[in-house]
Amino acid sequence: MSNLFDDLSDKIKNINSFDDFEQLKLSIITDIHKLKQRDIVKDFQLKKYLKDKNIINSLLVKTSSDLHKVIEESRLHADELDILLNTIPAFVFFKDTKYRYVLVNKSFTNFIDLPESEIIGKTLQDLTFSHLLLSKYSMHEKKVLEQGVEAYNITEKLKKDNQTLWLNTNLAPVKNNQNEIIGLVGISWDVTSNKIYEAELKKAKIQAEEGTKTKSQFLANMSHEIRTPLNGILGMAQILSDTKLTKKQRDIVNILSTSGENLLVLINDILDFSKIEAGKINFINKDFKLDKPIREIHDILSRRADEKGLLLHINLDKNIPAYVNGDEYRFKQVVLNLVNNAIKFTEKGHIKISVEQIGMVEGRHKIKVSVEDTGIGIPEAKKKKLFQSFSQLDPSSTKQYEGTGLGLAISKLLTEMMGGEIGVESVEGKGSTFWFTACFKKGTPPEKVDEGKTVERHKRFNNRKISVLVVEDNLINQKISSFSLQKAGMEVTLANNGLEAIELFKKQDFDVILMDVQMPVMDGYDATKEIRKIEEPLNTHIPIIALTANAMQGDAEKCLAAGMDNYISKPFKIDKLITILNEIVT
Amino acid sequence: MKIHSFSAKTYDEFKEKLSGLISRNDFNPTLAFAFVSTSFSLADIAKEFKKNKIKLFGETSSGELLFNNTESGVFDNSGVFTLLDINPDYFKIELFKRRNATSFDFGKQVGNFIAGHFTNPSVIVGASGLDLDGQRFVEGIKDVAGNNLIMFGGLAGDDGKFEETFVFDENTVSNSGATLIVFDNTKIKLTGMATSGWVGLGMNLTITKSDGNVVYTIDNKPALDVYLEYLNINVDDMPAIGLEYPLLIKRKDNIDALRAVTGIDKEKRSLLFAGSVPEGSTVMFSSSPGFEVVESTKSKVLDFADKNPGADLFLLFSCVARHLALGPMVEEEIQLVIDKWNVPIAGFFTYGEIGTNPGKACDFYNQTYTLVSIKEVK
Repeated sequence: MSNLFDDLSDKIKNINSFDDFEQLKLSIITDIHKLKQRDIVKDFQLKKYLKDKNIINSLLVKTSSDLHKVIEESRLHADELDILLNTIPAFVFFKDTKYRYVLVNKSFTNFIDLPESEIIGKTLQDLTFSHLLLSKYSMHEKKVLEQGVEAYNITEKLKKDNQTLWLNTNLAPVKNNQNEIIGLVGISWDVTSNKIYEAELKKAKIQAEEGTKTKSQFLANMSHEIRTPLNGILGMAQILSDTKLTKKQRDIVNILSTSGENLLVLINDILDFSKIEAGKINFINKDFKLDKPIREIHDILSRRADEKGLLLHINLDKNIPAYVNGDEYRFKQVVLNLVNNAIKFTEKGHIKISVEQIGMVEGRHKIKVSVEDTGIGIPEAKKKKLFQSFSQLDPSSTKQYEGTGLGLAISKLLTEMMGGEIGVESVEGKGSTFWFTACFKKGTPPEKVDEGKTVERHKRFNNRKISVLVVEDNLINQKISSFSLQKAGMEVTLANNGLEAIELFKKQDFDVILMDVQMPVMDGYDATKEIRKIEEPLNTHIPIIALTANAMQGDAEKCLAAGMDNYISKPFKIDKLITILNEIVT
Repeated sequence: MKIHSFSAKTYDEFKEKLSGLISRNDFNPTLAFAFVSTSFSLADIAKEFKKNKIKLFGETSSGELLFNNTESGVFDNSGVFTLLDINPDYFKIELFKRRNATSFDFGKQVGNFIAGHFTNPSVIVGASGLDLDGQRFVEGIKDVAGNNLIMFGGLAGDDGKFEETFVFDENTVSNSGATLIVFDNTKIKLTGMATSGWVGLGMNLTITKSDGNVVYTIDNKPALDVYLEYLNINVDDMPAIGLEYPLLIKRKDNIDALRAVTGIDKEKRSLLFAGSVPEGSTVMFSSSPGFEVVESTKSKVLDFADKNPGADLFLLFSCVARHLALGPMVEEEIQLVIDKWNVPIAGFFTYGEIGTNPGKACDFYNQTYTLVSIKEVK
């Protein structure tokens, strides 16, 4: 094509030398036609190129201005991001999938005291600026990169300039548009001050706990100190009442006894309440027969009810479980309190104790105990206040009805601890129904004991004189104990402390030892341990009953741990002691 | 199947050539394709075919093309006629008026006709009306006739005036309608290809307000002004320039679509496109990459020739933009067909193409060279 013009020039140049002019003419015309065609194409192409040039030029100019704008905007945006990144008061970093730093902020470089250029491309191991527990921390990063999950609150301890620092780090995976993990982003804070604060808090908490402990110890000691003389007073009053007295003297002794007993109840209540408040009560959950504490209460209190001319009866629903698992003592305490109150505030009529199951809560039996009386009743407005501490209905009523006002408050706390509630329904002048609920797991009955054997042993024990070693440092208590025990027909030997007790134990045979806990020279725990040591090669076992004045939780366990068989809180009632002796000696 | 084709500059020339063919003893045409300039009297042409009991598939054009053994060329303001002596049982022909139907519903109406004929149909379709949304029209057809439909065709033109386009048969002329031939594909086999070669240029823009094939704003600026501003052209250059430099739409199905401007609204500063331009879609300007596009088309035609060696007739629906962009060189990519198969190729320059690439569902296109081979199965 490009030679077409040359060819044509040649043909025209040589026009005279051609033989066949017609042939040449045709050829020249064809060439001219082709040239014309080519010219048309070229002309179109030129026009098209010009049009394209104009349009594409304009598009290019417009596009580059758009692009410039976008770049400017993204630069501004980048600047903003940069400001954000570098002013954020935390260490921010990006890492690739090979754990190499890709980007770090100023806080980060300042913290590790290296220029950015020496951090980028390095791993944490390469930097070795700290005594980080690398393996543990790296595990978190590994998890983030491999599983694509976030990791929060990774706390690391590290040393810098001989100072211990704590860092808290959050990590998150960085994903591309295809949802592939391409790295991780992390943000760390210096939480050293938090850590210090935390440590201080911990210390303060321990101190507070110790304070509470000290307080309960103080209360325990106090109760011991108060109960020891009280024991003396009550014991002596009891002894005195067994002697020949005039009516006036007997009245005085009775008042002495009653006042002493009231004081004892008061002390026990205060002690109980403070223990519960201090969270010092641990429930001892065992399987027990649900109706047992109810029947016991009935037995204990029906005499008092009788004296007031009241009918006390129990109504046990058939559906209640026979055995439950719980703290029998605390359960009994609440029922006892309610029944005691009922008797106290009822002048005529009856008192009914009902027990029923009202449902199941998370696999536990929800038991409701109601104590219905025909007493003075409670006005609506005062119902709420009833369960608050140190509250009796009417300040004046304290005169008529003695009490600490703590009973219901204690019951409320205990009920809550048993997963239940406490409440009252009452019509003033007609009577009240106090009720509480408690949740118990199902219990299993204990393995059957051979009843016959027990009875036989019981008898054997009853048939002869029992010899008792009383270990007690307090003279008054010595006297009360020996008097009571002798009166019950027992032979009493006295020891002033643990050491004397051991000596006596070695020389004589006793059926049982009553052991005070706190004594000079050697206390009851050590003495018991010694006795058990002596017994060991002989394969004998003398029952030892602890006499504890401090009715603190934990003392019982301490006694049993020392090798004692049972314990009884001072001042003890002789009946109770005899019951325990019967149980133990058999 | 006997085929004869001819071009005509005038009605008289048409009439004379038609009579010549009909008077032949060895040729009894039953079907004809007519692609003619709007300068012709369409009703008169229709009458001639009716008189001779020849079914007619007619569309107005924006440039016509015919390459056979006696003549070859790309024409303006002419008509190209192809007569087929074909068993009338092998095809059904129909013309529908759109009336007030939406593009999609109109497509469904056409689809119903297709679905009602032959168990294995293939279709040549044409449509008129500048406001028709070609994409929705095709979607409507496929909605009834299925995605596997083999269909080719083009939107009618009007010599680049963008005023009024027509489809017609031997009875009716419609400025808002569709004409179609449904072939029994077991007897008459249609295969084809569609290729564009246009490339995107410039920044991504966002269609901020549109309704079907009417675009109101691009990047929150009036659509017409965006064209004028970006391409540095006058309003009078539109929509022709918008045809040559269409928008490339980045569709969700990852198949980019070119959408040519077929109309403007100077009042609303909006643009009318040949197919849907969904609101929120990302678009960019596009252009032919230069005359090399011819080479690209040729290589695709050669590839198609290797796989489809025999044919009785070719129809070509080529975008008017190709005519504008390639000028006299447009002949090159058409000439190749007759060189390769030595059968006639007739067609016209369209305002939108409908084609089916091998293994793909049929679709609506702009800027393409949409070629279809018609072959009787023996």
